[in-house]
Amino acid sequence: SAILVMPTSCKKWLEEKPTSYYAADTFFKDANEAKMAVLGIYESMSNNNTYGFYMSLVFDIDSDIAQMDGTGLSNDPRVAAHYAMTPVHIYVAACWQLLYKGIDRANLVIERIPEMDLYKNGTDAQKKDLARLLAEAKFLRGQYYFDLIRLFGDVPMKLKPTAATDDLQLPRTDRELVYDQVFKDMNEAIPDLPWASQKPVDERISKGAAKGMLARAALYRAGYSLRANELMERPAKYKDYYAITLKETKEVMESGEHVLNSSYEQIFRNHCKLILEPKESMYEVALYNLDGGLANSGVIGTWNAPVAADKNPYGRANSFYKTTALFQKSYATGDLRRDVAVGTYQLDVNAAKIEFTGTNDSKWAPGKWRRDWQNTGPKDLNNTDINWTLLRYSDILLMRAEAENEINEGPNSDAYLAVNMVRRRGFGKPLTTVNAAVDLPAGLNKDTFLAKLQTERAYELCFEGTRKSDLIRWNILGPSLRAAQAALKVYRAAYPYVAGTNFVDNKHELYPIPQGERDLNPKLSQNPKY
Amino acid sequence: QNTTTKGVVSDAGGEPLMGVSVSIKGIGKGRSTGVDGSYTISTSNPDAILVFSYIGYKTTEEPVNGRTTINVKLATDTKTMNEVVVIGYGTVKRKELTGAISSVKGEELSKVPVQNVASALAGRIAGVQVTAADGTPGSNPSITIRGGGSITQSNEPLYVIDGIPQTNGLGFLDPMDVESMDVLKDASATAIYGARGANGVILVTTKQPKAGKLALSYDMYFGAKDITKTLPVLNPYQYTLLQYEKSLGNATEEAKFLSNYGAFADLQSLYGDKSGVNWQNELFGGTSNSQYHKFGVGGGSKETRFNFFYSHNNDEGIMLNSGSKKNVAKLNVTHNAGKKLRVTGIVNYSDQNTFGVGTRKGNTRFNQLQNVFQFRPTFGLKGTDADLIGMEEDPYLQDDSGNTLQNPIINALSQQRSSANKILNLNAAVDYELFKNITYRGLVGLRTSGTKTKIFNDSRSVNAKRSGGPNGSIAQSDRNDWNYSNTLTYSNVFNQVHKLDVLVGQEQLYSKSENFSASSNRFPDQSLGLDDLSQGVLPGIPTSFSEDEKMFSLFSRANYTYKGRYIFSASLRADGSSKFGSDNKYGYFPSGAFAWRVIEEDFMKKIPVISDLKLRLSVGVAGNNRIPNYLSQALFQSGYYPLNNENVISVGSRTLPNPDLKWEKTRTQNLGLDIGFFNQRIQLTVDAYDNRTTDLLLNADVPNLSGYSTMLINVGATSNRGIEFTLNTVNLKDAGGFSWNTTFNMGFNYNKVISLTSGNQFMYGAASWGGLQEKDYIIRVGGAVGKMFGYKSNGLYQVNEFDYNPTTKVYTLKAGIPFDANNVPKPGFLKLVDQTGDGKINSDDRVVIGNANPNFIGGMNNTFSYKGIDLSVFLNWSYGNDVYNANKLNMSQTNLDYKNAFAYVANRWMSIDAAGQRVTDPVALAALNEGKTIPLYNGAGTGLRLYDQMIEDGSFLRISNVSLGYTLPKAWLSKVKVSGARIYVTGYNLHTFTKYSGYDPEVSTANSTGLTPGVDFGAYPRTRSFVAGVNVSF
Repeated sequence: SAILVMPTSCKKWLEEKPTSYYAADTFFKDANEAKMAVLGIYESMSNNNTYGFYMSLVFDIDSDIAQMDGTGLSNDPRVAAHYAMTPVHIYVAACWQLLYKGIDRANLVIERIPEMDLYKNGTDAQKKDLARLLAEAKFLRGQYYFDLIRLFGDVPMKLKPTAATDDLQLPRTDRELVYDQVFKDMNEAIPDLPWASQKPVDERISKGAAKGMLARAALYRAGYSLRANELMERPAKYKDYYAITLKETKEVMESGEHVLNSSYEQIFRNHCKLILEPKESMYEVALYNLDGGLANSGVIGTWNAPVAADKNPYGRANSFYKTTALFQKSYATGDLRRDVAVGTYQLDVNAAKIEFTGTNDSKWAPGKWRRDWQNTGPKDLNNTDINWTLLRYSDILLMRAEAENEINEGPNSDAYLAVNMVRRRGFGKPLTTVNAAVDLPAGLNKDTFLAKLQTERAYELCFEGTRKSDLIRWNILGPSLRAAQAALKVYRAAYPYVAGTNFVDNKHELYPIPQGERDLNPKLSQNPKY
Repeated sequence: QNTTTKGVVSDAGGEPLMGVSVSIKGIGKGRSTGVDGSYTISTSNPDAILVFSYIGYKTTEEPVNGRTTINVKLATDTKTMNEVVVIGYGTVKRKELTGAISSVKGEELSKVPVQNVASALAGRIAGVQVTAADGTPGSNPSITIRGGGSITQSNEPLYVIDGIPQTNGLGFLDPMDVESMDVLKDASATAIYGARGANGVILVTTKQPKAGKLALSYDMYFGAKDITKTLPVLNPYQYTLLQYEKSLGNATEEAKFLSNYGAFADLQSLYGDKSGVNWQNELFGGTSNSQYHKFGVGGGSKETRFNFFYSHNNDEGIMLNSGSKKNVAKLNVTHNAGKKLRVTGIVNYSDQNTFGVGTRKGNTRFNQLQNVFQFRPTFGLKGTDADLIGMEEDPYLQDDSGNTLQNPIINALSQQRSSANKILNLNAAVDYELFKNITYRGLVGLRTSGTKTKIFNDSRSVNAKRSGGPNGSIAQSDRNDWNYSNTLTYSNVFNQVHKLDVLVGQEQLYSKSENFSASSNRFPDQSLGLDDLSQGVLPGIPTSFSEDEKMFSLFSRANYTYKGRYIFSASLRADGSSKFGSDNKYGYFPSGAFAWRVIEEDFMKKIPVISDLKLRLSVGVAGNNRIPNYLSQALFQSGYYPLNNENVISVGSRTLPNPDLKWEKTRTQNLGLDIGFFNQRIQLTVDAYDNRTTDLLLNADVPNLSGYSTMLINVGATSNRGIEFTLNTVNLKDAGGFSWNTTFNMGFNYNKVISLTSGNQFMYGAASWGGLQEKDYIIRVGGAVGKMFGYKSNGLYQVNEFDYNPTTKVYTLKAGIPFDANNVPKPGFLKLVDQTGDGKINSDDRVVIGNANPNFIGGMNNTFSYKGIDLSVFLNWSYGNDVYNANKLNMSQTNLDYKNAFAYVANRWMSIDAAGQRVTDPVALAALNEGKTIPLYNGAGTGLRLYDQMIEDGSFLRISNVSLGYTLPKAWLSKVKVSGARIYVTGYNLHTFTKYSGYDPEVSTANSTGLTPGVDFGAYPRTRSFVAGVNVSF
């Protein structure tokens, strides 16, 4: 056969010119394109696999104050919540995948923005814009790694966007090193982020929120976590991290950017009505779907709300996230937060409230995102557009109180003031007026103050996604679950609650590394006892 | 002195045959007959012998003996050495073939009453495996030739229909319109198709117009189908017992059980005699019809002739509210302008509308077939079982609205699913004899196709109930292709012993797809549904997408034959494809082959018993570019992040780009032997091959910490080695009017992975049918693709393996017994084998537990004829392959609420005694469960893991097709002006001998990656059908 020579003209003809995608090489031309890429990082949170459902709701139960409905292990959420999680459970694989997807997108933005011409040579306004976008990418990378540490312990750390030639079989990095990176990213981000008052009202991170999230990361780092040696341990220099929490919360408080909404109830009515209120609800995950579909939506307000019958005007709520009767009953008289936090009723088909009485008190559910506070005529029966709130100002105050208590080996006046403001608001009292009936008693020592804070966090922040993690960092998850179970069985022998029995110490403080991921990466070890 | 001989060649009935090759024996200098069957040939040798050969007819020789007129009638023959075989860009006589090419006649295929001709090909050709995922009406079966070398890319061959290459299967053809199919199996035959040839090539020749007076024809069949079996599930008594056992100890559940089903003591009397609702019978249990009608007309003059047909095929699905309708219309016109120029045009239009909710949609929770299996068999106390059948919603499920189950009948009726596919092919060919030995052929193909997919979930559907109202969508995808090729063929004979054919050509193709979809939700009124999407209160977000691909190719081939004994051929193709990285746009694909017609040697004359003997040897390289577009490029895809309740567009990386992406190449070596005995009454073809595929386009799973889950890479190598036998025998030849022919084929293929990603010794595959998170297939270097990977089981944990504490009533596993942390052992729990011996059951204990590859596959067709009666019996088989019964695995979760289970679960380890009391005492518990092998209701764990009991032997022998026909005597017919008539009855898929417990062992529903064949999840049950038909021509 003759040797066939391809004409060079056809090489051009054979070039691919995608029309429905953007070419990555020529992207990042301006701030708008950089913004699109940054929003792509945020997108990982806006999903049922992360904060729309699994991470916000399922991964926060069972705790001493809340649990999954139904004591059997007859579906995935029950298996996950009732401490029967296995390495093949889909929820761990799903959120692992999305968090790392967000991290890879952040890595790309962190690499590309500094290479943009406008980043160095643009106008001041352009430079500022790009600096903010770069800061958001760094913050989000830090946030996602913090989430991974919280759920899985030591995790592989990758700080460059993935290329085809990369070695992807990375071992786990010690969580202390990952925390160092989290702090570094957040600290680099904070200066370039605008305060809430300097930016439009939307879900993008503000300086105050970033400082608050750093304060939280530091608080967790200062606390206990399950290590590869199968022990719950905290770092030797844990007080350094309380100091970070103290510094950041103090600066947020002094900024004047954030205040407590005088009405505890209004906070959640705003959530339900999709109204952003960054003064109190400092940082939210944006959840919204135009046509009620699953994408970018969540089940906040149906899965964790009082039962609402099908076809009632407010829309159905399949209520699976339950509180316990004893938690509801433990609120002090006059604490207005009780009836906001807990719905003791169900909505019938006409949206009439029917109280759950007698042994049906086990069906009491979180009331913060109740159907009857939402807009009528929901788009979907499960998916709502209610944002998941990651950080409220009252958490800043409680973190401040906790950090002051730890650093000073006991509560000082700042600690008292911070927690009392939260309590006074909870009881509907003026924030800055001393109120002996409401305020914590004077003279508490470090341990008794901490114990008060531990319950105060429950009353203030219950069902908002931090209870189980708080109990873990205080190293009291197992004892709390067993105590809750014992108390509930005393309350009523048939009270459905199994977490105390199912929980295995020094195992269930972490989720298992997803087996599918371990299959692909033999360098990943498994967490203890899975 | 030259003698010029003229004449007319006709068939046995006197119809002139066009295109018959007329040549002089030993020289091969040939002519073709014209439209009217006429030929003219001249020879200087008065002893010359003329050879008349034509596809489908017996070759006839006539000595010239000085005659100037020789009229010949050719007898039909389906098996001769001289039949013409279609090869890439040309034809060749079978005896001059150097490659491995198998052919099948349309006549055989048309005996099988199916909509897609690919289904009829199953078992017909050695080394060709036809796999339908299941029995869904209107589905496209996939074809694999010689095992398939690609690991994760398509192993589908290239289809060339009347010279036009296509990649979208054979669905648009009318099976009755196929004249012949030629399957090119080795690279010496496929390399001419270069980058698209590695998976083999199937050349289809449709029926060509014949000259003659206008002839009408009508073909029809009508038939009925039913399913071959239903799978036994728990009957009402067994079901209620299971629900009772689960409820025990949970006050809420106990109360629910009592009110729904009654007291334990009454279960036997209430349900013992009830057969309950068999939902499979309700859904699939009836009979459905299939019918086919084809009207044809054809004829024409010497210059211009045509044929036209229209056919309609209506295949009702066996499942309620499902089926497939197909229409095909085709016009084929041929015009001869003088002796040198011929123009052919073909217009083929087809539309196919498949509808029905099917059985495969949805993952584990929403899968339609699981819903059928799992819906409860009895209504219990609150109504009759007949009520349950008619009830739109099971009131029991209203309490637990998280449940996804729904009355299967309502499911089938409330969800509109249809896909309407229209394809228009316009092909034109020009043949022009430029010079005496040089012919030009130009071929142009235009194809426009569109698929409209409609989904509507009415208010009764589970989707509408879970989302808040009726909703629907319409998606339209359009594709336009053009393709043209130019070839020049030079053909000559030198010194009467050297025959040379040379082909050079060029081809180019372009394909553009555009997709669009719109949806709407919450229709307040659903009577107009999809016909007025504007009624939805909540419009969805419309989507659109477009892409294109391009190829440019040059190719050449040379064949040289010396004295008809030694045949050499070589080809080379250069392909440029848009899909690859800029440095790898072009691929070069060479081949070479040699054949020795031993039979022509003098020494063979001493062995008269051997009537044909040929050895073939070939080697060549072909490629595979069946990958999605744009994978070499770094691209961003849009999404959104909703800021303050508005969609704000975001972007993120689409795939992990691989700029070095290049051609997957398969080098094949083939050694073939054709041998015939007793004047070709026995013909045997044996081919041995060794295919090695390198630079595999591997859609590798990558650790998700990369931000991605898969990446397409070129890496590694696989080999497929095998041997194929085809045996044709004429057992009885017109013995008292009785004839009996047998065609037998068998293929053995051994697949082996030679290397994987650099340094890796293995990789995993995931069938991803929805239930498993662990990977369930493994690919090891040195092993085959298709190895199922999971746990071995060793019965159940026994009572004596525990220490029992009578006070707490807790069983604690004794030391030394392997502990399963993810399914904490109790007596009666599934016991997996601790392969690593570390005392723990975990993912490290997985091993290979099954192999989807058969040891061999084959088929046998027997045809009998006696006078006007013909009978054909076709069997096919597969031996040694395993099926991964994912239905069974999914259904093994007997801990789940409400759901019914397969019948074998009745024989499980029980935790309750005859009085309905929980048994905790070790002695009683052991006695109650002696010899049990099925785990306790909650004993298989909460996270599904694949273990050996879910792998079954998928070997089978199928009585695929039995057809009995009678051709009415012409004498009768002529009185009613009918020129031919045949009536027949056919039974299709009559019986399958197999040990497999599912619907059908020929199944593969979760193999989109190519790594995971042999999974049975949600497969649509296959039917057995009987049809009766008529073929009439006027």
